[in-house]
Amino acid sequence: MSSLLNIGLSGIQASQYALNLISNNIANASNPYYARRSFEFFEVPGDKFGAGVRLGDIRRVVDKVAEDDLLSTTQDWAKYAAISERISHLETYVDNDDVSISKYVNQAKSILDTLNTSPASVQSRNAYMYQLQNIANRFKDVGSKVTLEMQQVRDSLTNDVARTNTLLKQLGDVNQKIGVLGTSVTLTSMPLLDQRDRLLDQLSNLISYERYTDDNGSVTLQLTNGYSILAGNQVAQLSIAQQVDNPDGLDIGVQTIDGFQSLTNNITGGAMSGLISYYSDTLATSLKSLDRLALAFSENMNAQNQLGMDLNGNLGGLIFQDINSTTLASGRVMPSSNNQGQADLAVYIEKTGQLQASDYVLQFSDGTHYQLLRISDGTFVQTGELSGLPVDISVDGFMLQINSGNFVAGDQYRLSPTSGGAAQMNMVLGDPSKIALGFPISTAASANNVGNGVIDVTAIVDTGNAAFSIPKQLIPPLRVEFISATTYRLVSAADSSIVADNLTYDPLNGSDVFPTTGGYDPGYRIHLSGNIQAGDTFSIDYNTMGQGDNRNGLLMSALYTQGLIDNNQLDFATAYQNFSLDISSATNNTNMNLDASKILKEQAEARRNEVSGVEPEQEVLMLAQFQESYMASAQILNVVKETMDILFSIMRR
Amino acid sequence: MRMPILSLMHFQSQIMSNQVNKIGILQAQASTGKKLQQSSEDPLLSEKIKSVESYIEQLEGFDKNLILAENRLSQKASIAAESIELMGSVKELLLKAQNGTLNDSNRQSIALELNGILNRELSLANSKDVDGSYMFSGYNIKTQPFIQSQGKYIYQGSDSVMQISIGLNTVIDYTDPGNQVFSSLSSGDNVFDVLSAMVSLLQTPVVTPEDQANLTAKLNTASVQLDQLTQNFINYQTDVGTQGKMVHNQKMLSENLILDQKIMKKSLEDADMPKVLSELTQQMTMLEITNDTYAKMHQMLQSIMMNR
Repeated sequence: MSSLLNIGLSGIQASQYALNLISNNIANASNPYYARRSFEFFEVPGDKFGAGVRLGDIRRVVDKVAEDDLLSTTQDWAKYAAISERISHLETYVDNDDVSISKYVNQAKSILDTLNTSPASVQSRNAYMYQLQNIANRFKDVGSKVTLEMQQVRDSLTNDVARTNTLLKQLGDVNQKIGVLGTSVTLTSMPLLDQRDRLLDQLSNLISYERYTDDNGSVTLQLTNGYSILAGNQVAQLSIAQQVDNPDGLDIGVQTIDGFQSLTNNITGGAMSGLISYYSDTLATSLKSLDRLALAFSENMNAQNQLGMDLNGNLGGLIFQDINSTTLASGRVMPSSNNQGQADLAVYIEKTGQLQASDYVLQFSDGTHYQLLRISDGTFVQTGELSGLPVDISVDGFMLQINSGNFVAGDQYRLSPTSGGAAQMNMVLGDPSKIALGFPISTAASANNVGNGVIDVTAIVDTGNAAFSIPKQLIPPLRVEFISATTYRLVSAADSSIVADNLTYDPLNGSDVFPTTGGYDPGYRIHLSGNIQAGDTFSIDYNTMGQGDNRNGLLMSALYTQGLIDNNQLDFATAYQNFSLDISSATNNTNMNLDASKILKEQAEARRNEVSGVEPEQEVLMLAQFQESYMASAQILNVVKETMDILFSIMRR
Repeated sequence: MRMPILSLMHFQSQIMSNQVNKIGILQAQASTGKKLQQSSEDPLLSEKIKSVESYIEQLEGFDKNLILAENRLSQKASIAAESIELMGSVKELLLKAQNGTLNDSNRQSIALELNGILNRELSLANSKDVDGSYMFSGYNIKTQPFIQSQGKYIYQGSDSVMQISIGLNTVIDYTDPGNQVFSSLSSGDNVFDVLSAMVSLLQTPVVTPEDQANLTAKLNTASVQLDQLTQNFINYQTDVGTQGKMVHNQKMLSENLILDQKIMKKSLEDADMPKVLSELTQQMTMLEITNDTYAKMHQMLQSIMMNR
């Protein structure tokens, strides 16, 4: 009898366990981090009838391969998900026609071309000036949009680092608790394992890692270089590096006694990886491209204006803020925070057409030996020895000026020639009459000339020349006097002194007067042509009356369609288009990668759920099954009870 | 045995979400008529479209100057034509004056007519445009081309021609130097000095036979000068005509080019509407099917759960 009772009791108990486990499965059916419990029943060996049933292993059903796969596909997907929406928004902004600098530039050329038909028209000058102001504003807008985006990415990364650190701490705790409970997986440790899976998944959204499970059940997480961010209850606490040594990049790492150890290259997935590459590869690079374009536009417009004469007869000045002020020049150099030496350096822009969209690092191997590294392609563009200061080093369109100071081996300076180009695009010309559309030189053939010689100003090359040192005057005004058909001399029209004598004229091909064979160069170029007779004269003077002179204006207009950017290959409109399309391409790439990685992640999820997921309909069926089995076992007890009742009733008689 | 109805339902809902996205893209194409809503959808195609757009902007940018050029050239053409007419009248008057039977008083009235013509021609030379700038001063557009000083007419403008752009690599002459239009290239005399000399000559009384000989000689010289000046005007008129043709050709070329580019732009960027609409219908149908499947699975799941 007792064995019957025990058998019945064991049946009830087993069914009860089963019902509990199944109910727990059902209750957690929608918990994505829960791995279903499965169980087996074993017969209890006993005397000749057997002793009933007992619950055997309760398993937490997992497949390590499926789990690892899910973690890695999540890390991959999270990388793109983190930036997909950001970059789409940026692209929409930049792609918008209203902001398109290409459009504004094309309009500016058209307005200038019309201005050149009536250079004295105040209305037309105003229109051009306003258009230039518009261009400057657009540069500032787009530039600050990108800079703002960079700041927001940095903020986002800071938050992600904090979250990662918190998750790591939580994982450390769970690891420890699991370790304490021992190697065998029990009902107590199972919820902890579920919780750890949850934390690992959340961590995968932030950072990539390899997972190793130790013998004692605790988990170790390593980065690609083997650095452990989690081992037992030891966790790493990540931080972001100071920006000063790498303004174009975000650096994640750990603070050690030796200083900051960078781990950025060992993080290949997760939101942090996405944000880091978005910052450097897309944002920082695009900003340089925009800044370079802004510098080229300012510089070319300024330079051309300074070669001309304005409506008031004065030499032209700056249209935009000078790109080579001493403040800007020294602001382009950032000394490393680890430098032992101290020096005064500055970067001046010489040829915007040859500027690269790249920063440079000037590094010293000792007190005088330096190397200049171009970061975009990793080439050393200059190396040398400093024999004495000051020293000028010209390369890639800029000039590095080392004024004074000392250098110690290991010192580094970061050079950023394009830095701030768009943000500093300020228009300093406020008076439209100061747009210098004319040439400051006018020439005339004497009405008494016998020959048919023609004199032309072919170019103004240097208004800084002494010939222009007094406003509205040419020093000296000149008379070209022909002594024969092939020889002439230059005479000052002010005092008739001879400036240059015995100059040769080629009637067949014409002649350029300056610079003369004697080296006289007044900063402009004159061409003579035609058949000239002895006694013919020509005059060269300041263009005082030339309000309708548009020759410099025509040259300004030509600037809009010349290749002036990136080794002089691109014009302004195309350069902006490239800037905008680079962002579009990056968006396109991100979206394609996002779609592809999403599919892989979803497939990995499906596989994991196939193994570990709870299927409610199956559990419900099992619930019914064990309900019956419970009732059947209960029936055994009933039988026992009835049998006992019969026995008792027999014994009472 | 595992019955993965939940997984299947999850899978169906993923399909539905993809389908809804596809429908979103098609609807955007249908309402904007454009293949691409964002450059990032197809950066290479977008680059082509933007290049064409930029080219069109640059070409259309010359429209205003082409109109200005046309107007200016027609002004110059009428000035040239009138000048030639006036020279014709002067020639007639000159012939009259060479008639030996005239007396001083006859010659005075001819001189008066010549003076009238001189002033008319002077006003043509000193023409201003709508901005108040002189047309025949070269670059010195605020300086009157011809003024009278001590009995002579002096040119105050510059020697150079002012040009304007009417195309990407095309310029035409806009203002001309008056001393090339209103002077004879060979002698260098300007038409005003010549006419003014004639007026003085005809106002001088003829008394002696020497006076008569002098008159005849000077009138002959004037005739030669007049021919040269007239030829100069005719040359100028031809020049202006040639430039007019150039502007007209440039205008035609520009219009054709712009039209071509606009057609190309359309073909690059427009969505194939019939295709879009038929795809849209297809996708909607498929979405319905997916939705039905999802609903049926849900029913199945419910029945399994309830029927025990």
